[in-house]
Amino acid sequence: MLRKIIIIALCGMLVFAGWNSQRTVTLYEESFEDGNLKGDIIKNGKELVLNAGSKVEGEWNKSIVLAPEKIEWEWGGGEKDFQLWLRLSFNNYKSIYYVADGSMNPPYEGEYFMDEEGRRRFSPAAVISGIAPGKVERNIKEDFRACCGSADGLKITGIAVGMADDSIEHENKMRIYNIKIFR
Amino acid sequence: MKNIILVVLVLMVFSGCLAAKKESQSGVQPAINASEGNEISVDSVIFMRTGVAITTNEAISAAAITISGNGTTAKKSVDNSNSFVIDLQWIPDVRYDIGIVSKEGDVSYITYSPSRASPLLIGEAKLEDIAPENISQGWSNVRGSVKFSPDGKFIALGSDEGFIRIFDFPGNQVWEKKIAGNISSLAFSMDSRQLFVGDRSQDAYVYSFDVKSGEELWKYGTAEDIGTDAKYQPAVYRIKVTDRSLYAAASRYWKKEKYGLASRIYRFDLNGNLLWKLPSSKNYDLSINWLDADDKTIVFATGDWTNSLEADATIYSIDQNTNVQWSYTIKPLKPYFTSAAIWQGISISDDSIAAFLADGRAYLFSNDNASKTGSYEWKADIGTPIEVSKIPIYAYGDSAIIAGENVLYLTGYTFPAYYPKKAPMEHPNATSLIAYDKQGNFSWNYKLEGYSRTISVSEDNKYVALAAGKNIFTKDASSHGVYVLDLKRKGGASSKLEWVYKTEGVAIASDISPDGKYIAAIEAPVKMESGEIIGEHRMIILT
Repeated sequence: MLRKIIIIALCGMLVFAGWNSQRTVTLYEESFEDGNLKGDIIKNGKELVLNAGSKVEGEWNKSIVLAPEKIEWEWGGGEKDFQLWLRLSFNNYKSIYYVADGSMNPPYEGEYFMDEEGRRRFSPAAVISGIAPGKVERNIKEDFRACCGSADGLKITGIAVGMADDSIEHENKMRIYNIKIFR
Repeated sequence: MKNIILVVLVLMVFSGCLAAKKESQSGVQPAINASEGNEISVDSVIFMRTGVAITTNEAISAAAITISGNGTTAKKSVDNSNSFVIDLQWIPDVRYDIGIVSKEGDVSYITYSPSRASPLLIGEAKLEDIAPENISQGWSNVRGSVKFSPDGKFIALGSDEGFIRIFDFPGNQVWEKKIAGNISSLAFSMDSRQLFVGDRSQDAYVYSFDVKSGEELWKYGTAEDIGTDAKYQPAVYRIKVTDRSLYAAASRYWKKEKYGLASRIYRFDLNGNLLWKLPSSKNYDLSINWLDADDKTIVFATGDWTNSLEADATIYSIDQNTNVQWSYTIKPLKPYFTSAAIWQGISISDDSIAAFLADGRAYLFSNDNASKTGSYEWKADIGTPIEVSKIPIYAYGDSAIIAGENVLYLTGYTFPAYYPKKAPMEHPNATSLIAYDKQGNFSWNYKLEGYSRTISVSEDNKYVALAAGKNIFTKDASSHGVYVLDLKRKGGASSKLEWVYKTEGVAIASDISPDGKYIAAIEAPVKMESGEIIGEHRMIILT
């Protein structure tokens, strides 16, 4: 009897460990209910889109604090003379811009901040561009480690989306949705 | 019964995994199709300083990649890989068209170059376990050196534990050796066939090793000249190699009732034959910590780093046969110091010689004019003492390097000019890279925050690499890392900062490849005030 109990207990532990290790926990799922909207970017249901028109631009951003592993989102709609990007800011003044295939780059070079002694300092951003439309899955820690350095203790402190349509002969119908961050 | 339980459990495991998988995908339907229906797609494009890194969603074979923009096109053939690096001198904020033709499918897409390059980690190697650096301690107990071979094919590493390692590119170890002493200097021969190593040990050897095999080719013990004992061991602080010669500076200090110093410089041919030593018959009774040389001139300085012997610092310019071309003596900066000395602050270029005294005074000499006038072109007080709450504090003058039209001075920590008082604040120019033009005009100041023991410049004088270690004042670990500045970029110091690659531990050494494409650096663990140890002992290769 005791033997059976031990076997069952061990199996139970194995089940729990197997289930838990494979489990991907969704830390964050964005519905754009809050955050800051600037310019011509608007919320349309559960997605962000850019208002119709030429020479329009906008940004949505939000402060969050998460210790992440992976992020995924879906985006697209940019065809010509457009900007479409997603930025993650981190707790060490670094930031990564994920820029869509064909998109112009955001007009940012990095982040200025005040150090402990009140001096103005600058931390250049990393830019990962050429990202195909559709569903995007990125390993945040791997990207950070490759482009910025040690990812130990890394936390996301902000997320932002930027869109711009500079085309005068074509309307770029950009959108982004289903942003999820996983541990 | 047992079997039934097991089957049920297996089913539970399976359903648990399935549920987890489902959760990560719930509610997501691919509503936007990938462009042009190709199976191959681009995962990322990263514009680095000297090229573009492209990754695709899967490996492609027999592929040709082109990238064109701004009137230039770069091509590369690749096979069976999903990550590619294409050399390209790209222009910021310009459209580039990238095309991939492969057996698996074709992709063409547009991308725009960013305003600045991003770093990319391309190689990494773990090194031996070491005791961590202490964030609060005013001195460093972790040291290391790293050097690229002139052909860019090898990286040499030296550690305080006596390990010498050669890595090929991008980071496979070729060989490893352990010698008795602490590695204090590294240099390659110009043909990249020999590695020269200087150590601190009872013998203070200059070694020569075959780069490919690790075979020891020759060695010379400087301790026979400058003396030795178990406690106060001599060290070969600097090795500089030119086409046909090796120059070495070896020094020793000891303390009985007061400090004593002994030093010499040496010239060898590359087969290990001693051509001369200076002085020829007896030692300088001062220290020589650094020298620099080109095909015609050797520059070094004698001084007293112990600040106890009431000695001047003297800069010597000599020819290859030890004839003094000129010398210049600098008096101690009284009342703050009783002696003058130079640590790594000597650098020679075609026409100029830069000197940086430990007390923070910076000089530039014209090699031609100095032999006529016996004086310097200009002088600047960079880290010299300022009084705060009646305590004089200074920023240690550490390194000088001439990079094209830039004369760069690298400062170290803040120290009080009178011991044992504690510095009440940081010197404004501490742990900074400060640039002047050759006419003596201040150009810019990059506040590095952490102390960089090394500074290296690409052959074209465009890029400078620094390894930022601890800051004993702020104890802020966020400044640890590798920094690259583009000296030819317009604007001030922030504009010139190309990128920062953060390391958790302290970055203790770095070197930039001669072509400027790659940077190798050493990270070491550091013990924080809380007792937590962060970072690891490893080599990283960045581009």
